[in-house]
Amino acid sequence: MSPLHPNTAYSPLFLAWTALVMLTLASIAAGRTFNDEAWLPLVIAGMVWLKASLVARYFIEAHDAPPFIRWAVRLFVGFVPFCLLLTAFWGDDIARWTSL
Amino acid sequence: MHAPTNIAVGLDPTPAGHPAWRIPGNKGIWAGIVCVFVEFAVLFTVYFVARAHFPEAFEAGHSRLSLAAGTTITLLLLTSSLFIAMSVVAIRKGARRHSIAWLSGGLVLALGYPLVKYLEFRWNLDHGIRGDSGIFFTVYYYLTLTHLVHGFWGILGIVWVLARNIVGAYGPGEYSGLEALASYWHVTDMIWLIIFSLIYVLV
Repeated sequence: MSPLHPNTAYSPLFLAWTALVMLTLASIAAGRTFNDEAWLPLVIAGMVWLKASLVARYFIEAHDAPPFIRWAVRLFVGFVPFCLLLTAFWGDDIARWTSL
Repeated sequence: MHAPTNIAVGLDPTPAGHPAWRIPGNKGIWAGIVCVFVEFAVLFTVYFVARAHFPEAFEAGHSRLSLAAGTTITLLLLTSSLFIAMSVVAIRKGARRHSIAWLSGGLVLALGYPLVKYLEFRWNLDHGIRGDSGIFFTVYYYLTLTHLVHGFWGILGIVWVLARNIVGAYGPGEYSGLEALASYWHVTDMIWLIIFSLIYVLV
């Protein structure tokens, strides 16, 4: 697979979909089982990043795109996990900084 | 397999002389998608600021939502996205009838999204969950309703691209419209995966 020879196989898409479904079910199980654990946001942030990266890599084929698109996708995919960790571990500071 | 003739390719060739990149779909759709990224980045920022201010409301609120509805929507959108990606691969291989079949399947599953969302909102109202039921539910409604609007645009796009595919507008050498729609739908799917984790899963 290259920019001029994009993917023509079904199997990578099916494997990516299987991984996305498994990650979704695993995240539900983690949320239910470890809902009191301080490290749960870290796990959820990792799963969000992984799921979004799988969609970007296998469905959107963002790795073949021009640098601007590649970076726009990377920034967006990384934005929520980053904010999730900030809020989970420095929530009080963020609340103080964002108070009017 | 010959490369599509209409795709935009990079002007900076690699040392081997091959173009370095191509645009998935077309420039227009990516201008729109980047705007969607900015829009949801702002909405997610509001979510995180609200969560930092009212952590108890967010911890208590998510357990009142229907996890079954959220999970069903996630599976519908993921599978719809898979089918539409399959449709793009099929047209690249010159299998237009398969492409139409995958796209039709993707449309049927995509239509399940507003249906389940409607049933979820009815269930919410029956259980006293409204937009003014607290900060968590205000955030939940604005995030999910905004996403639903984007879902409608995507569904209209699928209908349009399906009609164009049926009349033979796409083939192995020209499928930028189909790929543009696929890119938009995959981004819509990606954003839902994030919303699902933040609203339905994370305590």
